[in-house]
Amino acid sequence: MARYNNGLIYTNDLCIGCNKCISSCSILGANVSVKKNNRYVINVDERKCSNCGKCLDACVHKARSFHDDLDDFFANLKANKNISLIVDSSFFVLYGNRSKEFLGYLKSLGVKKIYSSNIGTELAVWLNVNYVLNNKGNNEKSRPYITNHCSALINQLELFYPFLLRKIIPNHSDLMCTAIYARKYLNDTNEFAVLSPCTAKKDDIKYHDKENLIKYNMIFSKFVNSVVKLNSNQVSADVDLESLGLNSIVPVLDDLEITYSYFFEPNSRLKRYEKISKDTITELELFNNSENNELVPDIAVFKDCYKGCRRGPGVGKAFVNENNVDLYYGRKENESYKNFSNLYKQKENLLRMNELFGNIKADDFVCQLNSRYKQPPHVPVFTYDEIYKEMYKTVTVKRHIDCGSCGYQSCHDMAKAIAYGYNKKENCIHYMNEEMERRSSIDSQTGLLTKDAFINSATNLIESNPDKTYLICSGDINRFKIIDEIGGSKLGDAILLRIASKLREIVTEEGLCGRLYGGCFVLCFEYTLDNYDNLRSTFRSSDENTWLDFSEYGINFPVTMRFGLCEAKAGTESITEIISCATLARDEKKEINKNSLKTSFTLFTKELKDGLKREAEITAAMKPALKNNEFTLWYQPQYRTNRKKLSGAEALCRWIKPDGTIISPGEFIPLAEKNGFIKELDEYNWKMAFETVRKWHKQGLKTVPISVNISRVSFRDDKLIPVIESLRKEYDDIKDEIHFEITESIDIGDQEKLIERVNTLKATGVKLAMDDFGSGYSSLNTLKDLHIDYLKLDMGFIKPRKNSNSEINKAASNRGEAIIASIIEMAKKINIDGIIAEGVETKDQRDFMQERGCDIIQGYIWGRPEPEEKFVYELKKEEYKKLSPEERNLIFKEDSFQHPQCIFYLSFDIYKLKESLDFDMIEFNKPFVDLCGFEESKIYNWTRRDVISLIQPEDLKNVIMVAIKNLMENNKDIFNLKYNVLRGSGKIEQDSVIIRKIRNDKNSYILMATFEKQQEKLF
Amino acid sequence: MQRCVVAYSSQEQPENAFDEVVKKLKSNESEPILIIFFSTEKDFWYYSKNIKQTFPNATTIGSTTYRNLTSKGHGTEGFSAMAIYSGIEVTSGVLFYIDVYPANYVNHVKQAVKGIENEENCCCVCFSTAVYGKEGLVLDTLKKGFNGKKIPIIGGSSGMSNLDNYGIVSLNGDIYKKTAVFAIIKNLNGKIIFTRENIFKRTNHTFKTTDVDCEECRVYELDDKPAANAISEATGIPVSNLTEYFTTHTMGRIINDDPFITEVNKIYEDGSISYFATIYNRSNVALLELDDIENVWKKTNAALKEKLENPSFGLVVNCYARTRLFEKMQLLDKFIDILKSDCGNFIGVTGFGEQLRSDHMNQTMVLALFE
Repeated sequence: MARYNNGLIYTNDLCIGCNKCISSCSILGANVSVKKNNRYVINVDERKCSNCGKCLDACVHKARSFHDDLDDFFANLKANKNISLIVDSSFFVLYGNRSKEFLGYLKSLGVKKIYSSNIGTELAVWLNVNYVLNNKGNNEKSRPYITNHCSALINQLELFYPFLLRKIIPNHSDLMCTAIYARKYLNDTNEFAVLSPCTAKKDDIKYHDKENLIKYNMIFSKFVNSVVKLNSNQVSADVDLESLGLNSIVPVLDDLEITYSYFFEPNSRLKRYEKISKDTITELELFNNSENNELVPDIAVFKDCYKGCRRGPGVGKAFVNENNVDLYYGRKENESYKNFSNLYKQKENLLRMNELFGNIKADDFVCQLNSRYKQPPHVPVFTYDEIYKEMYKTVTVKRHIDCGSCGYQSCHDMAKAIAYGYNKKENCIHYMNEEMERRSSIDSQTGLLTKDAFINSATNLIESNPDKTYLICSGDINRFKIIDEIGGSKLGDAILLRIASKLREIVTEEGLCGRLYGGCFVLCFEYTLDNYDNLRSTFRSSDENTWLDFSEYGINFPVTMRFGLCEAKAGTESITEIISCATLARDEKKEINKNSLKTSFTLFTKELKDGLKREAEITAAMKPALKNNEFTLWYQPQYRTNRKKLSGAEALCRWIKPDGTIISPGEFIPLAEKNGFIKELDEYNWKMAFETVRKWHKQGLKTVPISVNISRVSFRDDKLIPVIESLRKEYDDIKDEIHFEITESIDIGDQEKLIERVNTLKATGVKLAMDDFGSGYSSLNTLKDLHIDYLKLDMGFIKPRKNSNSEINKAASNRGEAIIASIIEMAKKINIDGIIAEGVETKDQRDFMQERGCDIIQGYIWGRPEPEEKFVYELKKEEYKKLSPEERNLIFKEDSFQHPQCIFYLSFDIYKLKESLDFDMIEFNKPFVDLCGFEESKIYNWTRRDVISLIQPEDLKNVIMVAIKNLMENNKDIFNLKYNVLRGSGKIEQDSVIIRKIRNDKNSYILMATFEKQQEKLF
Repeated sequence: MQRCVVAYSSQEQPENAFDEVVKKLKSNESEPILIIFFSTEKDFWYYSKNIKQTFPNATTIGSTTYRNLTSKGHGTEGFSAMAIYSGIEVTSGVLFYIDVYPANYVNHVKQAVKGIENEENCCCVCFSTAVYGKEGLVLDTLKKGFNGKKIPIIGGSSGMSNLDNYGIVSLNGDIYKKTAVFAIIKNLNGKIIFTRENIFKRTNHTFKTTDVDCEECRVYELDDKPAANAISEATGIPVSNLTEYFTTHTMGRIINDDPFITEVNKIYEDGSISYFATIYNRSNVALLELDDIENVWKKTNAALKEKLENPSFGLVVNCYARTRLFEKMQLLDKFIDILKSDCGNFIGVTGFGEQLRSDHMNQTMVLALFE
């Protein structure tokens, strides 16, 4: 059975928790807040409810209902039970003429007798008057003086004010008096039913009807609604007995004190109380003091409903005309007092009553009232304080808001209700407002500020202190996600709480501390040396800092953080921007710092800012650059150690912007690896390499193997294999001329995975080179498991280290040489196809590698990475070197530039002319550079540039243009133009330019310009 | 003349036990002012009636007990009494219907308070019949009757040798059920100090009461979950085994970071748990586990010695469950020795609830030492 709502009055499903029932109820605990379907509703605790029914009227949502015995009554009537009915006298006032119809219907159903409760009221008044008059003067302090007319009142006194029970005149209520009279004096042996507007009548019957006379209790509103539905005949009937001869002296239990006044002397104290309130109780308690004997009323009438029973909770609105009710009441009242017209003849009135009720035995109507009170435990101050604290009522003023929206009169009452379990703090609107505010500003897990709240507070703090400099620190717990996942949320929570608590200590009351998300915090405190040192020393790993030790949770390494710090001053960047800067500083070396056993602190500097800005720009430009073909391959040649033969080249990606500026691969490659763009770039490069080699083939060039790099990101990607397979399929004519390089320091997890991936790659048929062998963690032993074709050794092993003295360097170098020698030896033993020494810069290095049996050299000593044209030149040179002098001469004499295999040694100038007359330089010689005023140091960086536009002086440019146009317009193969030149001596001499057409197609020309001074060939 | 005489007889025959004790009390050649006495429920009426008749001018106050504990010996049979002959003033009273409405008799307290000159060096010794945690109502009523006077209360709920019987208390020869008897004692020779000894310590399992019925001493929810489920989840002990678990682990209300033991009465099917003391809503409660008992004793002893070096006499209220535990662990003699060292002369009751100042608790020892 549910804990609540099991009584007469209960809450139905319409309750929305508006608390009006609480405010209408005088009893703490009769209304209990419970959570139902995730919202709070108010239920009724029948142990405390006095069934007064006030909440029925108060609830505007019609969420309160009540039980009565209407169904049983009709069922038993139908079953021919003999039932007589006692109707509360207010029935006739409320329903006027229709009341007879209702009674007629009941009679038609078989109700035996119908009595008005006025009979009992007349009896009760007579009994009470006599009781008071007979006991007056006897121990005034304890003399009963409260009348028992109102069941709701008696209920409340029995439940909550037991000390007042002995003040109640021990006679039955009007209802019970009617029933007793009917049974004992009218010999009505039928069961009795009661029809009244009062929900509390049921308790009067339950607790005081010792002889079990009344079986059914019915309420007006339910009764009327159901009778109207059933009564089709509309037969009228009157009550069988309405009065015992006093003309119903008390019409509807209102103005009873007037009724009593007909029997008491004018100086008697007749009191009327409405409702049991604190004021009423205070007044009644005064009467317990013997010093106030003269104030004790002769008789006191209580009524719990405004205007008495005619406004009882069970009246309802159906068929009740408000205006008629007052009218009927007035008429009834006048009629009632006809026999008591003389107010000053109290004794006569009493005598008349005594005469009339002469046969009545007062003992038959004595009622024994019993306390049902249970003393509640006294809520200790400590409990109030705890509850107030939870409700954020930390200051006196908050404990006395007393707005009443919770339903109680004061915050104290609400706290008491919470302590007893009658209510929940969530029903306090002020608590909820503050809670909402806190939830948005306080991180529930750590109690620190949320990000938004931190930003607001930090902004206020810094702006309010323009003379101070602050530090904004962004901190992240290293490997927090892993710790949280491995150690469970309990460990994660413990770490968060401990660190949050420590950070709060660091910033003190004068600073701020917030949590951004996960293990990320943000601090703000004044930038002083002490404060900064405090932060650093708190996180210093040492035996003293045991707070960083979480071994009790099974974490056996110190929990560390990364902090980024950025200065903040009033009127500078916004806090949001500063937090971003601090966060960038924090994560600058994230990969290193996150695995460190020490907490790191990185200050945000201008250099860092510029660097980050540059990173951002480069990152943003990557994709468009790929689309614009700004990425190209340069080739670094590889030679046999004796330099007799070009054996291959490594294709290296270069980013050359349209304006000719080159973005260093050292800049963009790490960024591309960081943001994943490298995968796209790798594929682009691989394809470009295949495409270029195919082009060379078409041009008849004898090519060498070109190796391309596989970045560590691409290597880890599962798409690697299918992509390479697809390329090899597409370029199956040249597939073996493209080799792939992987770096040994690729972080793929463990050795097994590395071996597996390398071997899968090898299985596609590609030639593989292992780059930077020895720089990673692979042991020499790994070599046997890796199916690679080439091993590339980095000269780092034998390079001198900076900042070391020569002795140390020498020793280190010796060790490096020994390692390289071992690697070469082992590689040869396991039949690796070739060993390439990379980064060879000096003759000593070359000699060393050559001596050790290294096959191939790649390095600045013999060649830097160069554009395709230059590398093609190297390819051609390689072929040309193979020719005899005769063969070389023959070729030159033929002068056949159209011949694709044209090989030449001489430098000369060629222009490629397009429709738009753009000029691209293909080749030039030194005198040409001098003549045209080019800066030699820059010219090598020009690639496919409009060189004509750069020629100075302008006269020379014009001369060339005239010559070119003439040649083109006249469709000649050669055109000679003489022009005047002003020499430095002031002499005017004549020079000439000869333009030769080497080859042309529809849109382009390859031309060679030869300049001649008078009598002197320039070249 | 001695100020205090403690006597204990373990004789089974009440007449013999009574005579033996009275002989010792009378040997002091002076009329006692106050006699505090205890026995099991079997012959309590006899001792109560006769001790008053023998010493009609003394205030006699007593309670049934599971075991007599005195500085002169201890045992479940017989009769124990402590008589004070000088240096005190005493007034006394009775509160009836303590499980329902003891405040109805608050005037009895007010009347008793009027009988002492002032509240300095006073205490109220109160024995109640055990009423399933409602002893708090007695404390509330006493405090209300003190009307702002700061009179510390030390009390105990009566104990029994047979748990099917009920406890009885006595004041001035009359015996009562569902009643509390109290004596307000003013120590004219100096101060009175109090202590509370707890042999249980907190575990990491702490909860917040979120749904309670204070009047029934019942907790429906802890941390918004049915109480038994919440404890089960926290400890990993199945709900069905919790009753067994609570024999070694008890609960404590946390007040100012200090646990006040609140013993579990019953676990209900709906997961609610009733206790032998009132627990308010939004209270912090913690699971407690047994501490190092002898170390706790040592600490209590040291603290008492520091506060009061030479006490005249002491009153001990030791919980039935504690006494049973000490019996089981064969530590009772040692415990009595420690108490002798704490108090010198003392008498103690073993019952089903202990009260000190505003708090009613279980499985605790409370002690008052008179200078």
